[in-house]
Amino acid sequence: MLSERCYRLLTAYVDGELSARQRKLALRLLHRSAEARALLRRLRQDAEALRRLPRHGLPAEFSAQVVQSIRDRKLERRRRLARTAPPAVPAWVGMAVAASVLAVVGFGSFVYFSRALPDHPTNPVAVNHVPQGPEKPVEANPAPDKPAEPAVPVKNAAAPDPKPQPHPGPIEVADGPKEPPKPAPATNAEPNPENALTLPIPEKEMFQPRTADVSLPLILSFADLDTAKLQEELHKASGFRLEVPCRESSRAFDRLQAALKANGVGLVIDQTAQFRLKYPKLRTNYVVYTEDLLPDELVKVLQQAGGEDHKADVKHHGDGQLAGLVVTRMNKDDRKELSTLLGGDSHTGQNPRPTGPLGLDPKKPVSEGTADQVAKSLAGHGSAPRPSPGQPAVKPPEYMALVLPYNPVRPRPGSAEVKHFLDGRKPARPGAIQVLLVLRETKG
Amino acid sequence: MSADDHRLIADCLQGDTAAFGELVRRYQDRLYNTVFRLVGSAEDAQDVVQEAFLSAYQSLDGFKGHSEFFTWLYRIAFNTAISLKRKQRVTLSLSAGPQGEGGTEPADESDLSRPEQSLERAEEERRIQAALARLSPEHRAVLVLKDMEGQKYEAMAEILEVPIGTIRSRLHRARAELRALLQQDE
Repeated sequence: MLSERCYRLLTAYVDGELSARQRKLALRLLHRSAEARALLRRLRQDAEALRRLPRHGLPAEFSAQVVQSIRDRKLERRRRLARTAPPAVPAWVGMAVAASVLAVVGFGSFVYFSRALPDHPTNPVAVNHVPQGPEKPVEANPAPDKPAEPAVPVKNAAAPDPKPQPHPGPIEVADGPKEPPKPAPATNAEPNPENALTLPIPEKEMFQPRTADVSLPLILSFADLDTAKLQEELHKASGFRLEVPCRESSRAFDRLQAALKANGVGLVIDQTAQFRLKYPKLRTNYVVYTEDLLPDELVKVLQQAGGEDHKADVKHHGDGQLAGLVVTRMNKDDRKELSTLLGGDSHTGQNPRPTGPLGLDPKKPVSEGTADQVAKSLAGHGSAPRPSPGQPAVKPPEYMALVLPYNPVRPRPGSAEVKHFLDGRKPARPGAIQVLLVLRETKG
Repeated sequence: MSADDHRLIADCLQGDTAAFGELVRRYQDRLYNTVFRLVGSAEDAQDVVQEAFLSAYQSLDGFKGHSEFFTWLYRIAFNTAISLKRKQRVTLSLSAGPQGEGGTEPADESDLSRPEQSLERAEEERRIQAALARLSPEHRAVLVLKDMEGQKYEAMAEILEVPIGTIRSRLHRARAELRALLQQDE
């Protein structure tokens, strides 16, 4: 099998952009390797096939349409400003002057305001306004029936407060406008009107705090999987995306496949994925989709896969494939992506089709399904293989998972395997979760 | 760049929109063909090409003439196509031929005399096109520019605004991917 380096040399040879030295190397390779010659022939055929694709053109009046659009939209060319003569005074001089003017203004303002304020030994930042005479104190509390709550007093930075107020406690962030936070009861029995103006008025607040549900990804190590944490997370939603960075996706897939099979999960593998799994050099990311497993069952699968991977790594250092696990809850984009992967199947939720009491699709005539199954069984293509004489019948897997290529190629539209998976879907068990598991190769 | 193109651009800069129309006529098919292979839809390709020409008209002052006019134009079209895809979240069409009203296939008179040959060719075209459509946009772009447009690494690097090493690497991967997809079909 040709090495990656040789493959690169041959693709560059097809590009026709080799240096003299590289060309010599390529010719030497071609001279000694029949495989290289065969590959080069195929690559050249592919390039030729692309060149032979028919050329498409635009209608003759297209250019007139463009010119008309320029006129209709009154488009103008973005003219570049003409270069002016360099200024006599360097730019830095102007900036220095501006900076010094700002400094002078700032200093002057400070001096003015510090002298203009009433003579007070400590110059407090805020001053409590004490209403004089018959003027009523302004009620900050919007509920007129309730007495004004004592406000959190503004501490004077310099003068110590003669009556230290107890700490009001943490302010709760809750949905919707709220009453001002209730501080701890003041030592005085009556509310202090002097502090009424410092109370926030909720309906005047521009920012209304809301509770935010932020779900962060859960990052775990496969080698030492924290099953308790994982189980807790998997019980929090109905769908999850699991990102599994790995060294070689095909080998990582083998580990996962073994764990899935050991736990009674059958795999429907898309044809493109099957092909690419045989050729690890075609670096491919894969996605495994399942909607039949309960959280505990999934944890068991992952634990098993991680355990086997770790054993392999201990046996031969560097043989471990599964670097880690990143668990996020499925969001709108993930569901959209899932729908695209399944060929635009709108039933990306579980239990997609209505079923009768016997689990049959009432829209499909029973006889049609029965005839199909009989025909398949007779042809040996039934869901369960025919038992060999004297051997017990092989039980078909209880749950199914779908394996698709994820990047850089996607499954074929109308993939038979996707269709087979979708046709074989069963009503979801209570508590079963949807899982999109992406095996992502990270080798550089 | 040809002396004619220089002259037309100079006339455009003087305000002659008819000169720009002539530039459009010269490059429209070539640009359309390339963009069509990139976006996979005749209608979208036509929109992209039109918008690209309008943007080119507006930024004509910025064309310094160091590169080919088509290289500069293609870069605008490529960025327009990416923006369009982002807006529309276009999924690629896998039909064998152009969709919609825009775009015409050249008539092939040999179809009448050798129908089996035209069927084979149509089948091959369908295979290649389907494989091309399944590649990632970056891989598709480099293959189209290299094999269909015959561009050099330097020009491609300028168009796609990536280093030459990236072009080399992408082309290698693109060819490997295309080979794998076609091998799967065989």
